[in-house]
Amino acid sequence: MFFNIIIVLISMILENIFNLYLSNIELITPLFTLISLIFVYFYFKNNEKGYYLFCTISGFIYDMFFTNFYILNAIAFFICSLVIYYIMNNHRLNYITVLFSSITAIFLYNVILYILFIFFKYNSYSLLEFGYFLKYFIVGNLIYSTIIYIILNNKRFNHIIKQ
Amino acid sequence: MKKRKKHRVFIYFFIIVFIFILSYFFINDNVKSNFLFNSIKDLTASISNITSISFIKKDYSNDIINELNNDYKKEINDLKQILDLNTLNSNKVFINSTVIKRSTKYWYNIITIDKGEKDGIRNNLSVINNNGLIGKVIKVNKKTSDIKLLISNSNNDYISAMFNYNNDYYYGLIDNYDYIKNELTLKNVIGDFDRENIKNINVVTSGLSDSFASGLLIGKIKDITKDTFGLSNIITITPSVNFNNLDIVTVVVGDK
Repeated sequence: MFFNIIIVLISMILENIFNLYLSNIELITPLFTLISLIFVYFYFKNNEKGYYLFCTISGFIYDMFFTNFYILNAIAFFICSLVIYYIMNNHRLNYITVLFSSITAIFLYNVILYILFIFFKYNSYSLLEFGYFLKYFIVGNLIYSTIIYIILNNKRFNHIIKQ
Repeated sequence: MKKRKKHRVFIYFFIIVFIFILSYFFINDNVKSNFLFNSIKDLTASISNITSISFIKKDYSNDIINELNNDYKKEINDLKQILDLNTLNSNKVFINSTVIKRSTKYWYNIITIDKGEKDGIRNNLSVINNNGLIGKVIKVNKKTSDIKLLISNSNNDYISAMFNYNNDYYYGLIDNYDYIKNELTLKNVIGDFDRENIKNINVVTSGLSDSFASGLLIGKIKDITKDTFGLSNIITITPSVNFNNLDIVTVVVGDK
């Protein structure tokens, strides 16, 4: 559990640092906290409910940290966790699965926000703009998920993936 | 078996409806914050402050001291420019602050500064940097405040803006930001303009809207077109601020 909390916290702090100091690099628009949930799965392989609860609480903390909405990210993270768990549980755990989960989670998270924001008239973005954002979310976050995968696949941490 | 399936579908349906209804109350900038929420926000801001500012700026080696000096020089220049701006608008009070948090760029467009209620910050105050208007204060905690950026495309915020053309003032409403073209749209501008002469004229806040002080630079006019009915003009503006580079900002107090 300690590992899970650390990985989510580090991702959250990194996300803030990237947002603050590296906003100029359009290709890196971080959603590192969401990506970290994919790697948290390795500790919750046999504890489905625990995984959903952990993701929802992470979303709630994310809301406290970054936004003014109490539960928006708790909902979004919960829905993403359902999909991540399904993908990771039904496929072999390798780099391709991690990448596929990352892309699905990023896409799903953005779609949820887009629908909710448009529905409740919080923001007004066209579909063209949504596509424009999405391409910036993909690249940087896939690099991040690759880096974490490489670190966890290292001999020292290999047991986490092969648990 | 079929009954159980039906029950499940009903339960899922009600959960989705419940989440939607719940979301309605929370996807809103005007949600009132309570003591618990304020305290947690301040706590997360403190963590962010330690990690993003102290951690990066204090933990340096000899090799990067020169780079840091350059960074400080840039910071001093920015502050000097802000001071120039301060003397120009003498009827307003300015509170300088550092940005300590920034949420995901396209969706939320909220930054958090290290000044709050105890420093005299209130809701709906305008926020600028050395280049012009950035946004407005939407939430004030004890030690921190949240600022919604001008580019957030929020549906409930219209900014009244004006510009000077041939010694006359023309007014309109800033309504939308186009991420792809990096331009703001000024709508409902009534008048006849020459397309070539109007370019590069400064657009500033008029002070007529509820929250923004007057005379704050928004950007320069890029182009002008007529609306669908040919009655008013739609003007596109290039923002004067680079929203990707916000380190130090100033809250304007006093005018509104």
